[in-house]
Amino acid sequence: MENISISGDDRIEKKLKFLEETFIKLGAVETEIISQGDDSQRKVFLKGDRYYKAGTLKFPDFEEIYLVISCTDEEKYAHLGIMDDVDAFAYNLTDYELEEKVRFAFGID
Amino acid sequence: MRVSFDLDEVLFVSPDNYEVEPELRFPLNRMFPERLRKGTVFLINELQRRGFEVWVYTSSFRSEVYINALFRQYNIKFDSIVNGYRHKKEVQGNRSDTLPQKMPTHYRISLHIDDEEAIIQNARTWGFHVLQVLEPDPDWTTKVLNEAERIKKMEEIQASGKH
Repeated sequence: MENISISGDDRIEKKLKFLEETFIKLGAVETEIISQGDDSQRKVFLKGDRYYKAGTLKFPDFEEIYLVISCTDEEKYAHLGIMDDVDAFAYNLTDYELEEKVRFAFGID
Repeated sequence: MRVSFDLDEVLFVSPDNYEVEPELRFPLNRMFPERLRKGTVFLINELQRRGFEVWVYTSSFRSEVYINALFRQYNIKFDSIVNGYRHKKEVQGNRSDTLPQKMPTHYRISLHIDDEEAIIQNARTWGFHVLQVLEPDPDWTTKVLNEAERIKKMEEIQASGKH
């Protein structure tokens, strides 16, 4: 699987923004860190002792682009963009479903 | 009372040789390729329902975030996770003598489940309880539950004898 840049795709960018807004709504704070991974550069958020970012995933044998929430508990890895993908899902989920995904990633039941 | 599980060859097994839990949906099955031994979900939930704390104690260097994320897809939440990094930092530390690759007593774990013969040997030498899980065994969940209950009873008797 590969992370891809989708900055030109407004629909997906809108969903990524929504995820990031939901991070804050659910108690995360925006950090100064801009993740330097092979994904398009994205803001990193801190909740508790964990760093989160939203991004996209594409699999070589599938057309569809997936949204992904990634996480690490090490600040140095957040800077480097070395984060574990904790959940991935279709980009056309509703806002309610996306918020549920963030809750799940944050461990909020 | 705390019970811990090794991952590779204990909870993570090959579907070629073992019965396994259902595969996660795409794309999660690409992100988390490990397959769980059949009975894992029931066993961990049942141990927690009975009041046991359930930990992972693995020598692997998979991150705590990764392990948590994988098992949460099966609705499993571990009480704590000790991976190779944590063991190295908290158990081995700066000691000049090399300690065993797992020391459940350091974390007050009363029963550890593992497949490796070396861990069984270390249990005798270092005085901790291990249940070995090896081949495919349809009764493995019952054996773990029975052993956990046995150790719990033993600890209760020992504790009451001290008073």
